[in-house]
Amino acid sequence: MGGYFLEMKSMVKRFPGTLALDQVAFNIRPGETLGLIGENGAGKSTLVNILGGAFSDYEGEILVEGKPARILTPTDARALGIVGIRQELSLFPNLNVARNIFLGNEPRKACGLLLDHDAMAREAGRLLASFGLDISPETPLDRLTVAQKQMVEIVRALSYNAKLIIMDEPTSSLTEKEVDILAGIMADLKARGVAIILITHKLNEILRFCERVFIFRDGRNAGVLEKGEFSRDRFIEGMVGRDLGAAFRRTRREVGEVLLEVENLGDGFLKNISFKVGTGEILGLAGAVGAGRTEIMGALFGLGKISYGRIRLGGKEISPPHPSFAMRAGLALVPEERKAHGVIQGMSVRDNLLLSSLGNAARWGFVRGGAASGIVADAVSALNIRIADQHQAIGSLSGGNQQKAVLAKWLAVKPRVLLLDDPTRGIDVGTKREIYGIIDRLANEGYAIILSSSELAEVLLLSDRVLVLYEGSVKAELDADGLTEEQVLALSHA
Amino acid sequence: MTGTKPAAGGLLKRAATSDSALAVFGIVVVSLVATAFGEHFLSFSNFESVVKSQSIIAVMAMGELLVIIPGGIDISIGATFGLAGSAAALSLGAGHSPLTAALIALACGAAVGLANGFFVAKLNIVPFIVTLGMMGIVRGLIFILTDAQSIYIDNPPFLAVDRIVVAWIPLPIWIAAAACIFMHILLSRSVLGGRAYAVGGDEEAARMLGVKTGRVKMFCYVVSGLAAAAAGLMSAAKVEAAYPRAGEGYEFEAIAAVIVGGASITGGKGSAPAAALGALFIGILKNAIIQMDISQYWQQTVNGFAVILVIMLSALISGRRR
Repeated sequence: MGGYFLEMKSMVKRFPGTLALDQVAFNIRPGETLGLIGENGAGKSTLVNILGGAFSDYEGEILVEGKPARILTPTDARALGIVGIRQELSLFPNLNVARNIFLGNEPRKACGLLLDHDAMAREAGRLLASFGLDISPETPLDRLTVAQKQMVEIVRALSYNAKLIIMDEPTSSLTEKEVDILAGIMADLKARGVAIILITHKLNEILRFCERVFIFRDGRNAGVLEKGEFSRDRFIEGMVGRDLGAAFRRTRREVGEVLLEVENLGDGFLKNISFKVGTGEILGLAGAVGAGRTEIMGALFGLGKISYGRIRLGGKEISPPHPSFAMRAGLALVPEERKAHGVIQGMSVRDNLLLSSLGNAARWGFVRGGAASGIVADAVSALNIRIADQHQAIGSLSGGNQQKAVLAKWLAVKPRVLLLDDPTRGIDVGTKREIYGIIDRLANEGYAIILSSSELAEVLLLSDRVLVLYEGSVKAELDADGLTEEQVLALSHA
Repeated sequence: MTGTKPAAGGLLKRAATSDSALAVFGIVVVSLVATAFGEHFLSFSNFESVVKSQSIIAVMAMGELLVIIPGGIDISIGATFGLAGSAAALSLGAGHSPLTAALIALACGAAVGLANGFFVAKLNIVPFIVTLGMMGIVRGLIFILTDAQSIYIDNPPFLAVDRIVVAWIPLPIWIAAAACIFMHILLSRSVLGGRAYAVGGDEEAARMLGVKTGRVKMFCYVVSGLAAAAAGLMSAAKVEAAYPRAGEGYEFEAIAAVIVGGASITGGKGSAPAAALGALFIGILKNAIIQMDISQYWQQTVNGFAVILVIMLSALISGRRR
C-alpha cells in the first residue's frame, strides 16, 4: 500500500545459540500509534534495538520513507528521526531540564564556543509549554518525578525532529493520572505526524492507544491486527504457542511436608507475597518482565531489604533474611545473570565449584586437595558437566555447561530449597532439555524448588504449582495440571 | 512580611547545600581553632602568605577538577609539575629566554596530558591506572633529564613571576584567580564544559546523543597537564630552583581540594570557585598546624583525616541522595 514511514523486511538477528529474529516483517505509517506485543523473549526488544542502532550485524532490509536505510549506530538512528525512550531513561540527573533537552545539540554563541543559556531556556520553555507541561527549564533534573523525566525525554526527542518514537513499557512507573498526561502527549505527537511504537505488556493500553498491533512469537511474526479486530483474546491467542522443541514430561510426584513458608512479605516493590513450598515440589513464578519474579528470589535470599513479612524454613524463622544466613539455613540461589553473579569467569571449574563448599573440603582451615577433588568429581558426574579437566577455565565452557556448574556449586552445600531464576536463559535447546531433566530429578530427590523463567512455557512444563505475579503482587496461585498459557497470560497481562 | 521568610530559609538552605559550603565551613572552623591556639595565625601577612603559597595548588586543582567532572582522575599531575620545573630550568641553563623556557615547560605538560587522554579515551584504559603509570614514567624522565640533580635558577625575569606585586596583590594570586575564572567560564558557559558534566553524569547516554566523549576527555587531560605545568613553573620561580622530586604528593592536595570543593569523585558534579576554596582550606589547615606548634610530621596525617571528615560531612548533608 505504500505510505509507510518505516518498513522492515526479512529481518534476521542471531545471538550465540539463539535466533532472536527470524524473517520478521514490520512497518509503521507516519502518525500511527502501533502496538508491539509478545511474550518475554519474543523478539520485541531485539527489533527495537536494531531500530535504535544497537546492532550492526543483522540481516534484512530497512526502508525509511521509501528509501533503503542502514542503521548501524545510534547516530544513524537519530539522523533518520528514530528515537527510543527506554525504561531506564538516558537523562543526566546532574544537569537541568533545558541542558538535558539540548545536550549534543546545544544553541551556541561566540563562534560556537559558548552555550547560549538564554536561547536554551527559551526554546526549552517553548517546547515544554507546547505540550502543556508545567516544568521550569531551569529545574535540576533530579528534582523531577519519573513521569516528568519521561516527558523531558520525549520533548528532547522532538527537539531534534523525531519522526518515530519507540516507547518501551512507558507506563511501568507512572500513576494513573500520569498515564493520562502521557496519553495527551501521545495524541499531541500523533497530531504532529510522529509515529509511535508502543511496547507494553498491558493489553488495556493497546486497546486504548493503538490503531494497529504487531504480535511476535519466538522471534517470528505471529499476526498483525487492525483496530477493528482488537480483542484481548485475539492478542493472547497470537502470543502463546511457543514450542520448546521436545516432549519433556515432568514426573508426577507426591509433594511432602511444607518446607518453606512465606507470609505477607513486602518491600518497596513487592506487596503482601504469601506462599508455601513443600519438599519435592516445584513452584513456578510466572509474570511479565518487572512483575517481581527476580525480586521475590532476591528477597528470600536476603539480597534486598524487606520491610515486612516473615519467612520460615522447616518451621524455623529466617527473616529478615541475609545471604550468609540464608545459605546456612539451606537456601541456594541460582541467579538470573549467570555471568555477573553465578560464576567467576577467570577461575577454573574446580575453584568455582568449591567456592561455596570449601569448608567441607577443609580441615583446620586448610583445603585438603584429595577431598576437594572428590567433591568436584562427584558434582561433575552427577550433573553430567562436560569438561576436559577440573582446572579448565569455566569461561571456556558452553553456557549450558556453565549453568550446570552453577547448579553443582550450590548442590555441593547441600541446600534444602533451590531458587532457580531463569535457569535456561541463553542456553541451546538440547542443553535446556537436559537441565529440565536435572531440575525434575532434584525435585524427586526431595528438594523444594522455586523456579522462575522468562519463558512461560518452561514454567508450565516443570512446575507443580504456579504463582502468577503482576506488578509486585500475587495475582493468582494455580495448580499446574491442565493449566494453559492463555489462562496465565490473561492474568499476567492486565 | 511572611513572603520573605521562606525565601530567607531557601537561601540558607541553598547556602548549606551549595558546593562551597563545606570548604567555607572547614575554613571557618580551622581558622577559629588556629586563632584560639596559635599566636600569629590571625594576621594579614600570614593570610597573604597562605593564599600565595596555595595559589600553586589552586592552579593544579583547576586542571584536576576538569578531569574529575567527566568521571576521570589524574594522579600524574605531581610528576608533570616537577617535569615542567626541570624543563624550564634546563632551557634557561641552555640560554633560552624565560618566555621560551616557559613555553617549553607548558608544552611538556600538554604532551603528558595528551598521552593520558590518548590512553584513557582511545584505548579505554582506566584513568587511575593510566595516570599512575604516567606518574612513574614522567618522574623517571625528570631523573634522566636532570641526572637527578637540582638545578638552581638565577634568571631575574623568570623569578619575577613570584615577586611582582600588582595592585597590592602578588602575581601568583592573580594567576590562580585568572585560572579559576577561566575554569568557571569554561564549565558553566562553554559547550565543551557542559558536555564534560554530561559525560560524568552518564557517558553512554551522552554518546547516544552524539557527544564525542573521547574528544571531551582528551581535552580535559590536556588542560590538566597544562595546569600542572603552569603550577610547576610558579613553584620553580618561588623556590629559585627545580628539584627532581618537586611536586611529589601535590596530586593528593589538588584532588583533596577538588573533593572538599564539593565535586563528586565519580564525576558529574563540581565547581571551580568551590575547588579554589577547597585549596584554600587545605592551605589554612597546613598553616594552622604550623601556627599551633604541632610537629610538621603530623601535617599529612591531619590533611588526610580532614579530607575524610569533610567527605563524611558532605555525605551526611546530602544523605538522602544515597
